[in-house]
Amino acid sequence: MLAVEGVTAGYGPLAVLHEVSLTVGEGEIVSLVGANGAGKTTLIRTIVGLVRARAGRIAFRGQRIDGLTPEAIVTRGVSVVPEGARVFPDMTVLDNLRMGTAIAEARAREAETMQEVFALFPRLSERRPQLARTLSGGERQMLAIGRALMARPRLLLLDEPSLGIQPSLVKGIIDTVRAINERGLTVFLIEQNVHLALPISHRAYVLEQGRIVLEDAGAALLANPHVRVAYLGV
Amino acid sequence: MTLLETRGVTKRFGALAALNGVDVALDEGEILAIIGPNGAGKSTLFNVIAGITAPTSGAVRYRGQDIAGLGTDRVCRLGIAKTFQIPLLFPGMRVIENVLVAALYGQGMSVTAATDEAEAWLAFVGLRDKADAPADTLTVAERRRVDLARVLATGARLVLLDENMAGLNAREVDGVVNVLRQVRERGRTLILTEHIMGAILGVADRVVVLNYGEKIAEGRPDDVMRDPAVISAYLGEAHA
Repeated sequence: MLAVEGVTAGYGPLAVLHEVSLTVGEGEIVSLVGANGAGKTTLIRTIVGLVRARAGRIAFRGQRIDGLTPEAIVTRGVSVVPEGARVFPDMTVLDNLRMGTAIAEARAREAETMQEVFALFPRLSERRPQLARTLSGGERQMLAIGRALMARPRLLLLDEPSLGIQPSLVKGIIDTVRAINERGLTVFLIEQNVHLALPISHRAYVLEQGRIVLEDAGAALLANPHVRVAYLGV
Repeated sequence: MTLLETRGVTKRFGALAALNGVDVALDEGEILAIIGPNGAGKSTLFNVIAGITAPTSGAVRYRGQDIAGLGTDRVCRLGIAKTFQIPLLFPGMRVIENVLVAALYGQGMSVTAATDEAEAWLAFVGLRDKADAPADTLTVAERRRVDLARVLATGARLVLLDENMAGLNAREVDGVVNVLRQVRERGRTLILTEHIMGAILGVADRVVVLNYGEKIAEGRPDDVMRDPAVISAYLGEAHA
């Protein structure tokens, strides 16, 4: 569904990603793990067109998307849950969810999708009229995921869903990711915490200083001592 | 001899404690690395030491004097200066003038003496041939070197390096590691934050690890990287 081939990208003269290649197959949960500063968020930003790939190509469902605008990429079926559960703080929960339906196709099915989101996160339904800024960290993450789902994506990108969330709630978020995947949505998950990401991943990649250094089944990587080396150098 | 010491440094932003009772001490001539996952409090600790941020509570002592909350200008004159991840040079000035400003301010030298000082540090970081180039024509790696030359030209005895190697390739990283060793040989003390663990293993005498604003480990780089608390801070807990 997603193929990243030899992508080099960065900010200004600074290269953060060096010839990164990976694939995400339909129906999979694939994760990318790595320490901070490895380039994980930059890869997500490059996939959705916020950062321009300097070399390489990115294909979604067989068609190149590198060079397209973020709007065009979202319209093709890629949604992002941004790092730190960024939602619109001064808008209500309901309006935040509506913001997810900027594309015409999704807008036509807004009511139906919203019921699905509320079924997944009953808490959001209870808090419909509340301003997003009054939500807890865990609820904001639910809202960010819900908003991404409102676009009815084919591929969901999650950028460190555990970041800034109370540890007791993180497991719930991860269980939700698995549940969403079991309903047929393909997931590309970026995480620092290998114990959260790898057990639910069909396959995973390890990113170290902008390069993919390991690739394996999620469970196999969890047992691989080289993952620690990629994070800590020894 | 202890050059710098933080005692129980806490910094709160609203309800969030970015730093919570952090004690760090370092001796003159040491190279100390401060590491930790995203949001660990590394930058906040740096900003507190450099006088950019005042701590909510706790003490920061430099050569025995409490400097907490003094402000960067005064902290710089006392002998502490910091480089930036994204260096902000004076873009319209020549490279040498950027370093000259630092020598004039930090050491209060005459223009002639400060010019010699600026030239010497520019040569030290390997940019003598760029002295007359406008600062905004430099690459990121070169800007970082000018930033380091500026910090050294202030006369700072304690140099803080904030992710000085981010985005550099392996050869450039080795080059920076080499320069940092020479900075120490010239009698300066260094504190650095860095994500590139190989560089830390190669240059730091000691590592302090922060996680959620607290110090969770401290010691020789090789030992610290194998500390179970550090491994779970980076890779996560098995049953989170």
